[in-house]
Amino acid sequence: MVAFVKHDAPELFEQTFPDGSHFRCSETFVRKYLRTLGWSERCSTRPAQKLPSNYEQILSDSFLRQSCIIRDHAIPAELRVNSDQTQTVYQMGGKRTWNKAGEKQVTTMGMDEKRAFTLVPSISASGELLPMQAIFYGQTTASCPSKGAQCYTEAVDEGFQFEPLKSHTYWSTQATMRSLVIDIIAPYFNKKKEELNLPASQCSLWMIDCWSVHKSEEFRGWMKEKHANIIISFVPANLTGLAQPLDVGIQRVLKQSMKRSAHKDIVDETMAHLDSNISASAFKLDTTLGTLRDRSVGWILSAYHDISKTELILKASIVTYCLHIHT
Amino acid sequence: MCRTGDFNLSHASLTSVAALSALRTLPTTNPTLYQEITSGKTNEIIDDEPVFSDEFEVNNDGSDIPVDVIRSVIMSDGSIGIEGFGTDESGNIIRTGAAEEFESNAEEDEENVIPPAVLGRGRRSKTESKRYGTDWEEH
Repeated sequence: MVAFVKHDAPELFEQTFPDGSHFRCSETFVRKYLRTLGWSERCSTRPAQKLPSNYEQILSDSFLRQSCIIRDHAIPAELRVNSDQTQTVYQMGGKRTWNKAGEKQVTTMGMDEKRAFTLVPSISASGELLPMQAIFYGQTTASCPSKGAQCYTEAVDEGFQFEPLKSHTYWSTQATMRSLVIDIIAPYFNKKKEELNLPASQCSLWMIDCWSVHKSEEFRGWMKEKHANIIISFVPANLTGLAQPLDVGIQRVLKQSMKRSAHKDIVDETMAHLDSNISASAFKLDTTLGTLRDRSVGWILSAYHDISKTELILKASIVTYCLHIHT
Repeated sequence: MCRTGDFNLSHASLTSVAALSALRTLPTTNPTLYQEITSGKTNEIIDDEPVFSDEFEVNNDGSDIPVDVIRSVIMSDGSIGIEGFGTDESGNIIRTGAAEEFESNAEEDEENVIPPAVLGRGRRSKTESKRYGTDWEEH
């Protein structure tokens, strides 16, 4: 809709309304418009995270545990990192769909796991954003964005890692976790230790959630063997919405940034078609996997710059929770 | 003496005098936890977390909401202090200006709309590239 308005009536975006607002063809407006055409919205519901009844005690124990590790190992803020996986679908908005009112069959586009990728951002307690790992569904590196993708070189220069998931087997996910440590987490800690003139034996603290792969004996055993100086701290289960800085303050900005980038690509593609004067009815958005996958590099890089703000990352740790502990 | 500390996951809080004080008194206030920590046990992890824990997040802000607005809301502890934006019943950020009101009277709108400023000499107006204009985009 934005592209058609921009092409056919761009002045609509320039008008100033009495309250000072400008028309932006917001989703609120689009929803109202579609309802007048007899369409109804279906939105997949997500259950809210159910807090354990003793969640305050769990948070308190977790806080004291981390505080103790930091005290005993003299861990500076630079050496405390939180990582978390987030899934991004190529065609965003897939959890919301529109049908003619009364229709029972509801199809949802873009929800196939092959049309999604996993992004793993990491932030430090000193307000730094680490390079991101991006995992794409497929067997080989051919399933990852091509080297000719826009922003690919810049992303690689920033230290981004693009990897194929290969399969959902246990060992495949173990492998991607290990490469996250080898390629991003450990090099970051080593670099920081050098900058801070700390010995290689200095311990670091890595906060991850209780995903079965994270807490598996294999992964923890491998970490103890290969990266003994990285202490793992698990975010208490079912409390990520309160106790994981990335979930509380960063993922929302990251997802919004990628959603806007993806939307902008669609607008640009539609505008290019409209400018070409070829019949609008002959136009179909390019939703091939290869195209969207290549575009995702630009979305990721743009999101990286949007969340790479020291004050935002520091704030994420503060807004996690406010505990009252008797001392 | 019993005191209460307000804690969060910031480094300042985790290394605060109050936090260190809580650790010092831990052998008496929570001997079980003290025992676990000193024996090097990691936190007890019985439950599995789904691979994408942010699936529980409830926010689904529209693609028209600039990233700056989301950042600002987080920095101000959830309050929206930016004119023209509000939240819906689910907590998603939405635009609230009259411009997005679909049902408003078209004729009335035409009377109330302030036309764009005439730029340049005389009646000549400058028009930006339609394709690359960012009027609607505030990324």
